[in-house]
This record gives sequence, C-alpha cells and structure tokens, in this order.
Amino acid sequence: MPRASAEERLTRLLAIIPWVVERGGSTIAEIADRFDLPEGEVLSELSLVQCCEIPPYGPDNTLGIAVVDDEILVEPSAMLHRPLRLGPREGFGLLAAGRAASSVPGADPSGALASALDKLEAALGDRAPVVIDIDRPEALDELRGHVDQKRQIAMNYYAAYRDAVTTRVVDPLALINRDGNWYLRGHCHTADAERTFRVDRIEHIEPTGQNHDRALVDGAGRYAPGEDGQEVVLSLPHTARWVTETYPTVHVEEKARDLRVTMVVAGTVFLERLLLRVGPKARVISPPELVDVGARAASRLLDRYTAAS
Amino acid sequence: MLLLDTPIALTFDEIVQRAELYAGRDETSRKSFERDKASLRSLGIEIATEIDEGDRGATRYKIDPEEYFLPDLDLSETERMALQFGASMVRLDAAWDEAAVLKIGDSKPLSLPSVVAEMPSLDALPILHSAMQSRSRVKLTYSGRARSIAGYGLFYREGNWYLSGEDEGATKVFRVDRIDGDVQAGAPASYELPENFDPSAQMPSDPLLIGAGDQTVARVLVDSVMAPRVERLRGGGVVERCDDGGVVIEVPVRNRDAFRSWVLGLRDHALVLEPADLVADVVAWLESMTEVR
Repeated sequence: MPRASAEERLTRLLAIIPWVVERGGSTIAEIADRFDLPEGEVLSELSLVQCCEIPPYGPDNTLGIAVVDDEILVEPSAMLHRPLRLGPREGFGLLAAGRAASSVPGADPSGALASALDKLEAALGDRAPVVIDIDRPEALDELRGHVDQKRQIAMNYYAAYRDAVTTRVVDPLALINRDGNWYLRGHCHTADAERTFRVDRIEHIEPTGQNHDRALVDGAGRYAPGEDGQEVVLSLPHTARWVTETYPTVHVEEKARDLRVTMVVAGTVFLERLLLRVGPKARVISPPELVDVGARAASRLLDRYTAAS
Repeated sequence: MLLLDTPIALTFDEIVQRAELYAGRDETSRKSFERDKASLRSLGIEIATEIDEGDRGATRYKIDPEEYFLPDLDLSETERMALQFGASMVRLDAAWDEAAVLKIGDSKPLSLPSVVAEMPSLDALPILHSAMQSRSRVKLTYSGRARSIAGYGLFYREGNWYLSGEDEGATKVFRVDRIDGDVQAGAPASYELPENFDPSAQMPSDPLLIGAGDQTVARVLVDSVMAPRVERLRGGGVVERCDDGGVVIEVPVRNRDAFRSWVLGLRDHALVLEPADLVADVVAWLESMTEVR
C-alpha cells in the first residue's frame, strides 16, 4: 500500500477520532476495517494526536487516548462529538457521486438518495447546479436484471476490432459506466475468460435458462489489446489531440508540426477507422506494412461513392 | 483546537506560546505554520483572519465552530444508507466521495453494487464548484486565452466534465480537462446565477448538432451489419428499410466535421446519399487521403 500523504493522514485522523468517540471506543480491528488501514498502523496513526493539548491546555490536558487490551478509548471532548465540515473536494465528490448514482439503472429518482442529496446540497451552502448526464441504453435495465439474478445469457455482439457480429454465451457479472460508455463485464464461454462488452454493441439478448454462481474476478476489466496487438507510430495533426484523450496510448510526443503517437492496435479495422476520421493529415510512420492503410481504405470507400453516383 | 476554542483570535506569536506546536518564532516555524494553515484550508476548514491595529498590525487567526463542523444534515437512516451506497456505486479517481462518506457514514455497505460508474475527478472541479457557490468569477486559460468566467453550473457527459458559464457576455461551455494550468477564484458575490439554469442544456447531446452552422438533414444508407446499432443509437430517423436488412436514415447535421467523422467511423457500412454538398465534402476528404499515398 503506498504511503499516505500528510494531508491524507490528517483527513483520516480527523475522521477516526469523532468516529471512535461516537462509539465510546473501538477495537483496533474495527478501526482498521472501517478506515482501510493495516492493523499495525492504527496505533502509529493515533499517536500523532496523542500529545495534542485540548482546552484549557497544559500538559495535564492532552487529548486522552487510552489503549486497553486491543480497545482504543478516546477521552470525550465537546469538540469531538460532531463530524467535521466537508471540504470542497469531499462535498463536491459526494454530491457528484450521489447524482451519478441516482442516474444509473435501479435508482429511484424521488427516493431516499434524492432527498439525501437535497439535504446535502442545502448543507453545502448556496446551490450551484451539478448535472450528471449518464445515458441509459435500452438494454441496460434488462442486463441489470440478468446480472442481479445471475442468469446466463446468449447474445449477439458486434466485435469492432473484427468488424463482425458474433454470438456469445456470457455469465453477466457487473455493469460499468466508463468514459461515457456502458460496459458489461462477464465470463465469456467462447473465450472461457472474463471479457468486457460495450452495451451499445449488444443485440438480441436471450436468457439460456441456466444460472451461474461466478463472482467478478477482475473488476477493472479495462480494454487491453491481446497478444495479436501491434504497436504503431502515428503522425497526427495537433487538432487530432482527441485521439490521445480517447484511446490508450503508449507514448505521445509533442512536436512543433505534429503529434507523434505510439499506440497498440488490435488489427487494421480500428486503425482504418481512426485514419479515416482524422483525415489526410494523419500518417502511419511505422510499421512499414501499415503505412498505406489509410489511403487504401479511402480508395475503397471512394469506389463505393463512384459506383453510387 | 486552539484556534477553534479561543474566544478571541490569536496572533502567530500567541499560537507559538500557547500551543507549543512550533519550535519558536523563527522563519522555519512560520513556514510550518503557513503549511499547516494551507492543509487545514484544503480540508475545507476556514481560518478567519483579522488585523490587530494595536499589535503592530499583526494578523490574528480563529476558526469559527460553525465553519468547522458539518451542519446537521438531518439524514434519516435510510437516507444515510442511500448516500453511502450511492457513493459506493461511483468510483471517482481521487476518492473524494469516500473521504466524505467517512464523515457522514456509519457503516460499510453490505454488498458491492453490481452497477458501477467511473468518473474522473479533476483538481479544478472542487475549485470551480466552490467558486460557483460563492458566486466568484474564475480566472483560467482555455484554448490559449486568459478568461474570467462566471460559472453557472457543471455537468458530466460522455466521460467528460464541462463548465457552463458566462464569458465576455455570452454563455459558453468549456471542457474542464482542457483548462490550461490553475484555476483561481476571484472576489465572492460577483454575479448572479440565472434562475433554473440547466448547464447541460447549453450543449446538444448529439455532437452532430454542436456548432453555429446552418442545420441540414443528411440521408445515409447503413448496411445490415450496423443498421440495428445505428438505429438504436440515433433513436430513430429510419425513412426506408432495404430487403437486405440495411436502412436509409435521416440525420440532422449542424456540425459538418462531426458528421464526416461519424459517417467515416462506420467505414464501408455507411454511404452518404444526400444532400449533394455533404456527399461532395466526404468524397473530397477521401480523395485528399488517397493523394498522400
């Protein structure tokens, strides 16, 4: 676990003390569990405030922390009975998270979360609009039902890297909204491994009648090109910076005339799509066998327009 | 706690004397004091200052208990759990919400949610939000220009955060991750928020409609491979269904660059049929790509 910064430790400490006081004492294990700390670090964290003087001050009036067996007791003080005010980041973070949570499937827009958010917003001061606009694809509610009920499904899936529709049998495990897209994380029986599927590319969902008992193994499930991925170096105009904001890159070099972008692509379909969108100012620098990919794709599409005219 | 409890604000010298937190009145202690003040302020703890006319103009410091403690949210147990569980459904990069839950929460959710949203937490966001709450204009650099913006609202869409506000007399939208450098808040109470302002309504959700150009309608032939997906994503617009499963779809367009990017992203699966000027635009684009071969 990386070492927390002084500010993070202070934040945690300012939360631990009132929490322990409110309960009239807690065990080391409870504190470690609640605040995600190794048990061995609980005492060293609390020792930071052991010698803090409290009103009316003086050596006989320090913040009293006692350790009895493995239980931590904090001398009650009027100052410690109320939780601290939310900082700007905490306040905004909780508000944004709450608003996002109320946008996802299954949320009740007029339920307890909504009324809690109203109270939180009022407590934070003047209202400043924060709107979370998360779309809800048609299949989302249905998929959530399958995830929650652990129902195995068969589905058609448009695999963009192959540019083909495939049929999969999947044990659905979780739904994730990332970078504005919804993804289904599930165990794919074709690959016999966990895979991530973009929800807007899923069609014709049918329960197989089977239930599964799998649990999510890799909650992250971020896309990574497989062993067949190929590293390419692109020269892109500065106006195509969105490429580096949208897709994973290995390296980006700012040059006066262009951006040199190194990325791993899983096949030429993705590369064609990218080059067609960026246009004539995009070039493949390497590998040599892919230098013509954009021009060949453009030529192929031109033939279709010529035939249609 | 010294600053919280004191009935009168204290000078730095008095803090050194009473709290024994700092080694002395030297430069090192002063720097430590400044660092500690900054840390407390970053945690949302406001330190009030006043100038003491009778003590060589020394600055006095105090923390108002009402500014220090979380106001009673009056949450019911159900609301508290809903807020906690809601926060567990959302993963902010910087875990700001988790820190907040530590303050308001009581227990961990019983199970991990099956639906999770991941959102970027940019450093500028809480600064922009706080500035909006105090109606302070923000100074920032965007697209290479220094600006002074009256923030009206923040919204999140398609994986990005946006600031909607007034800049040079016009309401504009700025992508927060494209702000260059720091954001600085100016004096409070510098402007009024428009009534019932919806920040997300300032930018069309369809990228093809973003921009000030004239709107036209394109007719696009989409083949059977992509037709179901395009129809679903466009939310309709099909004017003709072909025997092979393809469709002709009508698409409103104001942003020609965005339209070209969208239609060429569909590669061989889409063909622009009308209007002629949009067809010519796509053809010219493709021709220029073949010329650099």
